[in-house]
Amino acid sequence: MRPIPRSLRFRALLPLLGLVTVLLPGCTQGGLTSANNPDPEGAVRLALATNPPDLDPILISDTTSSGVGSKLFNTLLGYDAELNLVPELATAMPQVSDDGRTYTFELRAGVKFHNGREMTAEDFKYSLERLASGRSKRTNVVRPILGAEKAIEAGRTAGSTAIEGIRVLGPLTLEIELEKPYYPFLHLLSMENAAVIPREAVEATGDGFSRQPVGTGPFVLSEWKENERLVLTANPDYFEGAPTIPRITMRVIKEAITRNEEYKAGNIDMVDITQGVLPQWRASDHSDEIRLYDQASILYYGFNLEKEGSPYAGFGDKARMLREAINRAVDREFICERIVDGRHSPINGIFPPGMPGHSDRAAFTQDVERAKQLLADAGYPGGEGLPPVDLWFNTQGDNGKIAAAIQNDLRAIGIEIVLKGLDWAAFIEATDRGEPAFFRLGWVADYPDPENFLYFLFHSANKGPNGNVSFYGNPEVDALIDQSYLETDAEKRLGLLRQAEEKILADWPWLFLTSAREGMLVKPYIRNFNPTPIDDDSAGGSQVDWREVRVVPETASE
Amino acid sequence: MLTYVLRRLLGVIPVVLLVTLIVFTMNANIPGDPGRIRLGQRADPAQVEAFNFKRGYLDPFLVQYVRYLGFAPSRIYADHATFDEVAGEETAREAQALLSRDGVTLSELEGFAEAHDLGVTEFRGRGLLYASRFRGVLQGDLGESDVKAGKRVGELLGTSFLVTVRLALGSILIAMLLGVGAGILSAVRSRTWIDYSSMVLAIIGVSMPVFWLGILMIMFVAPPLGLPRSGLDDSSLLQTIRHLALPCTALGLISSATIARLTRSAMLDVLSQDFVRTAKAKGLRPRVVILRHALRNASIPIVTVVGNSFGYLLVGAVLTESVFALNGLGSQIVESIVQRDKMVITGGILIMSLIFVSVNLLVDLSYGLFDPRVRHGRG
Repeated sequence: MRPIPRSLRFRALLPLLGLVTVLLPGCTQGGLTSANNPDPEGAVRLALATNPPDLDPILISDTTSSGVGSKLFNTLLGYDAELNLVPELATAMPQVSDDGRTYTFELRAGVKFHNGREMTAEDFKYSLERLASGRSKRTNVVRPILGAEKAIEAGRTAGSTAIEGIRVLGPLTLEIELEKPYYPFLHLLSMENAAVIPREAVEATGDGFSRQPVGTGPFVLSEWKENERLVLTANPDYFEGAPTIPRITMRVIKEAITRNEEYKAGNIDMVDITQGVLPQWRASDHSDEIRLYDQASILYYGFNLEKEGSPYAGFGDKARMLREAINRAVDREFICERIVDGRHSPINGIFPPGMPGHSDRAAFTQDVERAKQLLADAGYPGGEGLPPVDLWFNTQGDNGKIAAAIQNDLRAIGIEIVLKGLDWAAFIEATDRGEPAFFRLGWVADYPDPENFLYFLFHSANKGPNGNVSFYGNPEVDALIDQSYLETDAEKRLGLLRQAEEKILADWPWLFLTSAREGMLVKPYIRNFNPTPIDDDSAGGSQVDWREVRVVPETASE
Repeated sequence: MLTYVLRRLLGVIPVVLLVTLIVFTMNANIPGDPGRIRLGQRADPAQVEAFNFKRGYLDPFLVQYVRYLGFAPSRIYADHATFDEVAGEETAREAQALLSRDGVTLSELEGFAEAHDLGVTEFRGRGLLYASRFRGVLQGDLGESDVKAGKRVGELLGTSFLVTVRLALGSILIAMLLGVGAGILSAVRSRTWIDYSSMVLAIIGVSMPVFWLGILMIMFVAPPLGLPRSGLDDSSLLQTIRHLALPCTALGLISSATIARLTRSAMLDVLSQDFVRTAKAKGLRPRVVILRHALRNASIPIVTVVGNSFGYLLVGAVLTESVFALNGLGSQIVESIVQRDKMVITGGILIMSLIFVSVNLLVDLSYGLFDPRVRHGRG
């Protein structure tokens, strides 16, 4: 056996020693940081799962970009905590003409862009007309305006995107005339896409505006290292007063495990709760920091009401009774508590909790006896003579488990369903074609208005791919929805939509299931962070009033 | 020597041409319409077509390819950000005004184009003004991202390349120190516990998935050492080293395993040769025998594998980058593939192939340094 040369023994250790000395300063600097120490300067630190693709208002079309954009920009209208429309850059809700087609907005005076210039009605006209240009991803926002179609057509070939229906009546007065009365237009105006931006900044940077956006919002984008981090600094000139926190930093961390570890280490102040990890968080030291909040969404199993040969189709009494029997047979509590760890709650109708229009009637519950009775009344006692039906669903997440639970519940009253799982692309193609008789789907509100649920999911004009994949068609419901567009009084309008909801519920067109809840962990020293049902868990939401968010370090209790 | 390097550099040209041609062919045939990707699923089809027209995606495949290389003028339309750069601000403003006028005729546009050295083309019944300029890969321009509005591909890839270079250098350093060290030790003391244990460790290293090692390090190594768990702060050299310590170690450990195994077998080969015995018989110190005589003779395969590992580290550290939230070249390209950002995919793969070609060239050149018997330039 050859001995290792003495000198070699020592030399082999040298590089290791060097490495350790390099690392040592780190030990003294950050080694003892407690997991509950906020940023020393009071900034809020977030993690993004993706780099925001675009921050130009006309290009924003995903939740991350809209979350970041909402802190940089302002719109004419916004929402209060109950998701009612309220003025933002307008001084009041707009004056509406008698025919319901023309809105007149008075704008706030003295609102400054991040470049220091004061905002005027001309800026709004410019910003809205940009939405018609060939580069815009969101032409649908201006489409209801008079003359918009012509502008969009011209915009494709670099022509003028001036829109006839947008008129500047004074330095701070803006008039918008629509093609026909369409109340939800006010919701379109409150999306980040309709934010006001200064023309000179766009002209100076061109396409690059998306990388260095300028708005009027409470924060200014001061740094953006693509795929790495964004820094938003408080805007000292914000028209409602500067935010309390000096800045928001957002680090792009794609891996969920890494985000969780950074949260545990106290390096970020909030983290989204990814699927399946809620029980682990509940069992951890961080259980007090879990925040679940209603999301304006619903999960349902739809019946195709025009499917030939399906006993569940049509508006006959028997079919209606069958659909009700299925609704009575399912144990929604079990799904919510046991399958999705409390991240869903049973619904009581079409409008999810936290949304305007949500009613206070009791949630749908299981009633096996009533279900059996209905089944017998429909002519299938104990399910005898009822052919099995395929349930189509996309196989993401917990969908398969939920389907199996429902299959069990239905088997208990004698109804046989066959599970048919597909990938999303294939599934949605089949439902758009109207192929399945019974299928799983969901809907997340585009804007917090009951109309967004009723029109797309139940109006006969939208049968098929537009959203009404149940092929529901009820002239009375259509009439109520159509009438709501003409109604300018918010209360009366809501009344009409609620009436429509009642009529739909009586037809049992769906198996009404649950509404989802978003989950986040938020450090205890972050105060006044109150997400609404239309806030996503990324980028600190888009409706949260970040001007009010505070960092309050806890005083040492020992 | 010089002629050898020149010849090898000339050899890069067909490689680049072939790589871009292959990537272009693939890009042209994978599903995913650039206009639809940029403008969104619900976009108006006419608008999508207009976008594709202006970006040149409606042109025949070969025209696109030749333009990408920089042999054909690319067109920049009047509503495009770089138009005023090429046409001049004054002309750009006049062009916009003209196009925005209702009922402007094609002949009017032609007159304007002639006077201002612009081009005119027709799209869906309307005239379009454009400026043109030569650019493309051969001018060092990789174009603009299809997905990230206003972002140059070169800038995107350049930033992440810098991250990757630092990560790869650190990792290969650790891999070499550990791998060559462990390999020599195992060879010198072959069939002892040192040999067996380092080779068992090497097998674990070869088979351990790097992202798993990364997660373990974030959870169990970072906290006691007080090291950052993820991200990169390059405000100072010390911060850079602290942030890259864990990812470099994770990657380095994995690569060191292969290097250790190879070093061991190469060293064992050499150690059993006559000249080693002679050297020992001459009474040379063991350190000199091992490091100067044996290691130098065993170096060619070691350098080759180190060079290859370095190449792979430069392009293939995607998982490590993702776990440690680093914006490296690998994850940038993976992201662009997911988003079907064709310009970034093409540029990225082009850069990757250039990296491989240059690393290979450097490895070949370094042979002469380690083994004087290798000579370039003759024969």
